[in-house]
Amino acid sequence: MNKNFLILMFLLLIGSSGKAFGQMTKFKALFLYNFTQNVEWPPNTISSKEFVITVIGDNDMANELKKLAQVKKVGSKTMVIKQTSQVKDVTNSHVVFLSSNKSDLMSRLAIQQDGQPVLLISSKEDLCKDGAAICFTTIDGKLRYQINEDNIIARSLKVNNKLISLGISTN
Amino acid sequence: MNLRHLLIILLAATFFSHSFAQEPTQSKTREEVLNMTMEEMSSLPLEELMELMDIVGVSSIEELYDLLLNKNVVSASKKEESVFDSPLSTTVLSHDQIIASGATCIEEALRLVPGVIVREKTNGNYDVHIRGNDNLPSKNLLLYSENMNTLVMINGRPVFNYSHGGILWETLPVSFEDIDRIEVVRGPSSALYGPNAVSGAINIITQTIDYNTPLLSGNFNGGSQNTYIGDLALRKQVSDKISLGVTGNFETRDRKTDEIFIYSRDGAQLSVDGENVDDGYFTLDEINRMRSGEQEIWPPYMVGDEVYDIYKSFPNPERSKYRYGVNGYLNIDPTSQTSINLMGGYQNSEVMTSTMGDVPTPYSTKIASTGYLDLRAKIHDFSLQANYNGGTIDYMSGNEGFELDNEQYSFLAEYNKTFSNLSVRPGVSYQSISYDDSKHISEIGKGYLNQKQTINIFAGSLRLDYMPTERLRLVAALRAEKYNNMDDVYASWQFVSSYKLNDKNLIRAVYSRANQSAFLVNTYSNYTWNIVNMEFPRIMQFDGHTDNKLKTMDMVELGFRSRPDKSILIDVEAFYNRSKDFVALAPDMTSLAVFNPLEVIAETQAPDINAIVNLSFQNMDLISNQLGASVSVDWVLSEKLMATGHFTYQKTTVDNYVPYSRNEILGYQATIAQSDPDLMAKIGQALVDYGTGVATGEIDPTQQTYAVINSVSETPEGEEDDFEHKATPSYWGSLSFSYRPWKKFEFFPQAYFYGDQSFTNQYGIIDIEKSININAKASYKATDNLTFFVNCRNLLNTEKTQFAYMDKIGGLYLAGLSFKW
Repeated sequence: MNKNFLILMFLLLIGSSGKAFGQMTKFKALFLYNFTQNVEWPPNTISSKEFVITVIGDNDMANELKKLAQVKKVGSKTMVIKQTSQVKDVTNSHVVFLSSNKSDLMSRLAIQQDGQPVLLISSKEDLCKDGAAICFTTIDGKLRYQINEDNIIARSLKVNNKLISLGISTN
Repeated sequence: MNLRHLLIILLAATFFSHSFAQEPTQSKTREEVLNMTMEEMSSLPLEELMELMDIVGVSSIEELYDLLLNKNVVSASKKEESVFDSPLSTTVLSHDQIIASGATCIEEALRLVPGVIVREKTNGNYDVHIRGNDNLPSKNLLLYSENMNTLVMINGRPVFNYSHGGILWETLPVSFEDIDRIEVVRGPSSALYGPNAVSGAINIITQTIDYNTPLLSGNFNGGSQNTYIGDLALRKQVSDKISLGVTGNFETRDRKTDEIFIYSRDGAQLSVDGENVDDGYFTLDEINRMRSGEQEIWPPYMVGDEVYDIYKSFPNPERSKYRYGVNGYLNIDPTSQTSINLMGGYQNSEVMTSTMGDVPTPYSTKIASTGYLDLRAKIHDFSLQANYNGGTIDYMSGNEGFELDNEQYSFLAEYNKTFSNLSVRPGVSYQSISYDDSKHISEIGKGYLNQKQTINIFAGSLRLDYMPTERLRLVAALRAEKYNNMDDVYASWQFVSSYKLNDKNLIRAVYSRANQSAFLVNTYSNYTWNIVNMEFPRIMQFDGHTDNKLKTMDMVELGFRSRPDKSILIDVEAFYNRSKDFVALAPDMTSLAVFNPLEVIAETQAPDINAIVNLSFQNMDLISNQLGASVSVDWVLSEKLMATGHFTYQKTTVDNYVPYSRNEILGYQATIAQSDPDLMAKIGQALVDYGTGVATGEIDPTQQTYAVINSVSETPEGEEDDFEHKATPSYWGSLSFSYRPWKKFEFFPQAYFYGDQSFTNQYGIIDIEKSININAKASYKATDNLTFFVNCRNLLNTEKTQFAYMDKIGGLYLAGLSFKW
């Protein structure tokens, strides 16, 4: 039995993940964009022309959001996607997305952004207790999100009831 | 199976997997959703977007990453964090992982955890040690093979045997349907959890009941060796603030034999009905007629109106395990910052496993009936936990003195305050642990304790978790505890630093110390054993000491965690630990005595001279040094195939090793006593003193029936250093796969292996060869709510002994179902 045949058998055995691969990040980006349609920021607090989304530690997510930014706006504002690997570099953002790899920094991020009108979203579940407004989670293979209304209101943001009701409240 | 058949099967599997994957759902197929553009989907309202994701996402590989590689853990820092970020050596077994593996009980599931050596004693009863260090000191009772180094908890509530030390796994009231995950922290952790977390801690976390929890769920399986295992849960979140539930579980298993092993202790000649026999396995009827030399090996005796005989010691010799448990849950969340969790339950168990005492067989039956109540409350940054465990445990059925009532109360209060980069967690705790054998003995003196005895532990702790930068983390945990019977204050600590080289690599270093608690038997024993089944000695006196030092372990550990790709997680840990102040039962003194002094004085009998032995639970000079390393890899190869493996290598050496068993030391002392050149004169003097004492009323001949001739407390020379301790195999590990060729089918093979080991107790040395155990479970998910499975443990039916003197473990073949509604 030659080596190529063994490799072929192995690939057949483990199967190809095909188009499904990467769908989670794409849908998280779509969800995130949709969140911005259901949250209201106080007027003129950051930038009047740009809607700034900062992604910490997740290039794939930033790339998906950049694709969205090419075809979508938030209200009349152009979406600007910033990337960083450190919390200390986060400035003037409407939304901050924290990757799973950086989940240990959520408390630090929440305190660093204390009082700022920013929607803090984590890729990892159960971080609302550390200050996140929304945390992605999977339940029975379905993408869902946890939402903490108190953490949103505390940052002078307004959230509509639909976003609350479709999520899993952690209040 | 030839190559053509294999190819056909593979192609068929691939075809079916794609067919199942492309089932149309709702108004759009998965393929249609995957072909939609970002712009199209971004225009949809959130609820429709969620529906599309549901069509696409069910078994995406990212979910597998989350399930296997991005788990959360609480036990390493007492706050939720990613396992990757954990500052300690940490492993989490999720509920789904345990169910998929086919593990039939909690102990067996721990074979999936790096660094944990798990050996089966009898069907369903296991020895579990974190990193080994087991059976120390050796050449002693089997009691010291019990794991006295690991603190097992259920939601932080200690479930530990404080009477002798150890874990009574069968008395855990919970089962898989209760469990959300099992968190294992390797390395000394007393600073976090209190005494006995010496080699680590195992925290069993129960499920949170929420709106996603099935109302009714359960697992049942049965098969060979009369094995039937099941559990059932009825749970509901009744409102946003209240959830409740009740669970139940049962387990019954048989051995492959109803015979038990009988030692030839120190070469005594065994016989049945006058026919000489070697040591080996015998039926209870044979043992009932067996003699060791001139003595009956298992003579019956009366306690009140009750006969204590071999049949009382082994009421069900064919059965290895029987247990059931019930648990109730009530959770109330009055506000978003307040939660109250109340959990209570009861369990009953009877197992046949290794003995904790000194009887002619290495087996004993343990019978337990216990209950508990556990209250956990969180109010803003305060957390409180108060619990009660109590009941009756008979550690050696049919042996007077080993049945004890116990009451354990624990209280813990902690406050957690987080500043921008500093988390501070002070705490206080109090434990009161009482055991009482007085209700189960015929007269005072027949038990170890002979009354209710209590150990109280008051402790204060402080944990500081500081992140000076986003990559560097420094942790210091300190605990000081005070016991009611020792002057010393025991301190334990953890100093940890971790540094994230980047998002994919983390290095860490740990220096920690932990200690055992005092145990009731070690502290308070006062037991006189009038021996009736051995010719020598005649009396053994067991005493405890209230001033024994507590065993401590110091450890230095270096760790490296890497995620070179998001599909793989590699964890490496290298450790060196040093343990000292072991406490064990050891001889103090051997005395020769005349056991018929009045008859000798009356010149009606010749002197009956035998020995009285004094033993006590005392500190040993023994020091254990262990150097080792573990590697674990979790790898999601594709949506269909996941692989997990771990491997541990270790070497343990001991200093101040005493190469003599208890009986060898006693023999040494007895020889010196018998060789006393003045022995005859001392016998005469002993009789004179005894007679005078009786005449003057100083001695009550009904109480003190012997006259002491002389006493010897010398022990033989020859302590050894750097002696290699081989009770723990030098290597062990596991390799397992989860293979899902299509959505409804999962195949989970596992190989668990270990190297050679050599086990020494007071009656011999048992060499156990390296072995590999193959397990496999195949599951078919008939509907979202119903799964059928077949499950093979020890598939190759190797029929090998995994633990010294215990049963040969054969194959276990089960079938069953799990369901949820």
